[in-house]
Amino acid sequence: MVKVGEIALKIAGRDAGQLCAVVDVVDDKFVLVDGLTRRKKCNLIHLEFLGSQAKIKKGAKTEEVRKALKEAGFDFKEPKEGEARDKKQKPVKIRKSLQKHLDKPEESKLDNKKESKIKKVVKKKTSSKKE
Amino acid sequence: MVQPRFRSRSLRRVHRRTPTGDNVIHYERRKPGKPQCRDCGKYLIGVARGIVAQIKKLSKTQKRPERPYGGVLCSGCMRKVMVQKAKGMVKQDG
Repeated sequence: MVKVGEIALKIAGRDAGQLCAVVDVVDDKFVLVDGLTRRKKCNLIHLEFLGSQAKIKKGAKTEEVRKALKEAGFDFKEPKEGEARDKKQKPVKIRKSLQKHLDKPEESKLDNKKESKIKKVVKKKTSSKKE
Repeated sequence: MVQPRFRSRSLRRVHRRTPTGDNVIHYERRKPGKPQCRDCGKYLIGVARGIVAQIKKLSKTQKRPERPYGGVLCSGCMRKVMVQKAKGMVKQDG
């Protein structure tokens, strides 16, 4: 019988070639597996056991399993989690004529009516930039 | 008379019946051969087939199975490779 904590390599499917450990035993055919693979119910045929044990309890979390795998002497890189990337803030684009107006309002040839409009536009763009 | 560029057999001929009832010949590009497993030569399942230009439009996940060696080895041969990998990872000291 398979015990909780046995370390295996997944040999089938999308996670093939990834290290994992048994977290829970479902029945005599299936186990719950976690580690570098996704946390999945897995057929024993799709696992190749490596004969070593990770010190984890039944139903351990992913982080605990990975820690235990490292303690058992398996080196691996932490897989990248799907964190949101840092969005590069795009520089606010303002029309050249408007930029001129902002820099030197005295020299610009734009009307007062337009000026109020321009200020609104610039406010919008700059406020979104700060956020 | 056939157009001279269609006399070569590099394009395949497809017979089509038009809405008016005429039988015409369309000239289409040939499909590339079936992809095979690199090890055993078995025909691969789940790999998109068709005219190259059409397949290029597909996404990566639609073109081949989403597993290591997908589109190169059949699933059985991939498993053998993974079992070999597992044997290499077994620790002698325990």
